[in-house]
Amino acid sequence: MFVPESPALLRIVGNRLLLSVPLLLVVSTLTFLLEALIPGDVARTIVGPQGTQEQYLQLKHSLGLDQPLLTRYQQWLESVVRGDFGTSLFNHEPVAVLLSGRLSVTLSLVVGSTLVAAIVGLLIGIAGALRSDIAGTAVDALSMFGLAIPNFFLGLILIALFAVAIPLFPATGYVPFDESPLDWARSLVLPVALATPGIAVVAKQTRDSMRVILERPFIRTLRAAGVPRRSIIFKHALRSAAAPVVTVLGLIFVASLGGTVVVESVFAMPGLGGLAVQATTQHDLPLIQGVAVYFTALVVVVNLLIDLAYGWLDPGVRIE
Amino acid sequence: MGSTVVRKSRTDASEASSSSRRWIAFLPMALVIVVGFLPACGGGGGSTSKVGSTLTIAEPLSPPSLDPATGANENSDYFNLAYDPLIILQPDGTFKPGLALKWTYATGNKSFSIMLRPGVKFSDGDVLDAAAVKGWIQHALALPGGRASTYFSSLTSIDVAGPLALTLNFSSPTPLLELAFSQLLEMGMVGGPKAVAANSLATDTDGAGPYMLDKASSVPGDTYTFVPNPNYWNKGGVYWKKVVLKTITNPNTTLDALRTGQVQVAVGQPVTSVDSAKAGGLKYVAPLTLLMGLSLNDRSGTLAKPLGDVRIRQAINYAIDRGAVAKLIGAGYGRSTAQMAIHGDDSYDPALDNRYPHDVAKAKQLLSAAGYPNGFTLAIDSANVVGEDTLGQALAGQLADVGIKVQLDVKNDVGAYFQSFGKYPAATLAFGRLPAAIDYQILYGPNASLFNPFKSTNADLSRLYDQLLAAPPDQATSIARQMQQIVVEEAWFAPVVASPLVDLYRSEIAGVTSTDFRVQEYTTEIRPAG
Repeated sequence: MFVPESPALLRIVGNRLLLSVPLLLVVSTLTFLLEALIPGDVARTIVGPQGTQEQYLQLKHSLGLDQPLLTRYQQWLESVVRGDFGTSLFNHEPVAVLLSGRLSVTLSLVVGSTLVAAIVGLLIGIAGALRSDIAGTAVDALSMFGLAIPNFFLGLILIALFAVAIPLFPATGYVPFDESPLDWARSLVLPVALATPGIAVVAKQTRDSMRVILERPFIRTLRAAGVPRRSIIFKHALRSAAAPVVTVLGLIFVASLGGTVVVESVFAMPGLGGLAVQATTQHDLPLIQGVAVYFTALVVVVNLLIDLAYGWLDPGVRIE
Repeated sequence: MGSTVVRKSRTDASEASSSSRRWIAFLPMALVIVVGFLPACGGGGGSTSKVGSTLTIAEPLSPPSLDPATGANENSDYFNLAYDPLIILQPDGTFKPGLALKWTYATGNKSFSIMLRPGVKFSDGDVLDAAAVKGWIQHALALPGGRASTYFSSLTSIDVAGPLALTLNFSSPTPLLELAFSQLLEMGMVGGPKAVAANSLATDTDGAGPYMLDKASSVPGDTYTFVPNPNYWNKGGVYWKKVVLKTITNPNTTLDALRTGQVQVAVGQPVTSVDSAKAGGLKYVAPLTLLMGLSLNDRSGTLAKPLGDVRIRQAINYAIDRGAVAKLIGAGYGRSTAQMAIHGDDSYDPALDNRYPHDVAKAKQLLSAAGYPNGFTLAIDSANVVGEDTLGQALAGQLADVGIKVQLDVKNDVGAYFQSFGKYPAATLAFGRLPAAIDYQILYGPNASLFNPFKSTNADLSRLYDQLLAAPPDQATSIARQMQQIVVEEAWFAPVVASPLVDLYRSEIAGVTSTDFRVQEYTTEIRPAG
């Protein structure tokens, strides 16, 4: 990872972070409006079918849902500026507590998936670039298979095979790292195995980029100079081929973030994805807003890290 | 199941600049890969849970509040563990003392006296007394959105007659208070006065039940961990060192968690899970929980003129092949019904079971007699919950056979479905089984605003309701049946099937008991088998 070394680069990083502020504003506004367009409200969800209309109206008033939409948005925005994400309308817990309690689950899942996609995808991609056309075709076939298989279906098969039939891993749940690193790791194996589509994409991108780079004159020069093959591949060729792979990894991270909605449901993990679904079905607006802001912030940070990675991989980009 | 407590991640460490530190970042994942090939050795989501030590129950819903004063009986498991009720509803439908030792009605069901059990403490150490119960009922009535106003609508005063004695006084007859104070409707699950005053019961517990919430080991909306209440009055009623309620919304995931022993009990599961569960060696109970059918709301013909004619509503009832729909919806575990009650309900009348046999010719004859020989178009509000959309589609096909063209509008959002009730002449309905008096208040009485959007009234029905409220128990059943007869004859509904919500459990578990008289299991009865 490239670390900013000059005030100019620090300024660039600062500017990128500042630019994220209007992005967060737009995302939160759109989320608020979209939620408002969905029929139903949290008061009806809580009161349920057995609640009377009077009970419903009483709760609606106590939750402030009878106030104009603009007023509610303004109140939410003012709270957020003060660092307060508000309180869940559904279960009365502070939104910040609910979100922070689940962040580690989602990060373990998403970072894990991205790392597995990176490591396995790179190894397969490099092998495909170095070997015959048959190996390359195999990488292509694997890529298509990985992309075609739906996440939830793969998840159910993995559970049936490796949790029920052969009880290697837990079928559901999540164990915090600080409670038991071993159980934390075991609880992540099956969910992270859903990184298969990411592996496929990274493998294909790596193979294609490596094949182009390995044909470049400077590689022939290095070979002629007697530079060891391993050094040529991993130090020179892979570094030159890595920029598009890093871009893909960024996209995989973002896609995995969206995928947590399904993965956390299939594996009953208490993460942000499941919380997003729960909050949406319950019309819990402060919580929906909080999840949207957290997800957006994660995407902003990842994009920034990718830009910095470009600088590390390619000094030309650093100068620009 | 192992704790699912979520703490601050240590994996989101910032990237290091040196290559060695970069590789360190890969270590946790390498650990994942390595341990992936280790044999199952406990932990990891809790597969080592031992019966008697930890009971884990899979729940399909997380609760909006942990305060039993809300009366949200769809979340009853979350209340049962920490709160004993004043009166306990038993599987055979009778009541036994809980926190109340004795109770009596007087003056035509206008007063209800309670004698409390002595020596009972809340989990915070405070003593349960009559003042605490009075404060509790007042808290329940003041709680926004709470259901207490349904059960105590005419409460005028609460007299504290002694440390353990109190009397509730009502302006009009108020029966069914045993049920209201039982674990079914939760009004008798008294919380501690300090917690009530601190307004903390939505997110924490303070009851006189066998367990109390371990907040540090819980994840709101996902996992609720309960540990024994040190002040519990009945030590023999504590069967577990820890009880975990884990929200799992996906039925397939729930089955897998049961099969692998991560959870021991799963409540409120779809009936379609039963066959898979049986094949996996699991046990089940399938109480008939939901009455499903059509609510023919527009009984005065405001939106759909034909529905204003009782013959049309009866024709709809005759057009339905209930047996076929019961097989479809109940997957072999449902029961067809032509009334808004089944065996075990106070208003159930066996004679009404065959009031509307499947008779297409009769239906067509009634349609012709009412002036609609070619049928008509009927818009139906529906939602894709608990099979209501499937029910609607099945009924649309059957009603087409008699010329009634159904326009089914299936909503993905339950709230939107409820809010649209007044915009459609009819709606699919899945309603819990309740006594006739409560059905009248919520489902078809003039003040049942949600489910009676067009304010249908029937003088005979209202008169019987008034009689029912004041009737002694030995006369109440007869009156409830008469009310059912009117509802069925007027064809205000087209009831179709009583459908189960299933509880699944492992063989090492006992006490998951549901019957026709008590359709919900009582969480505190669940214990190790043997």
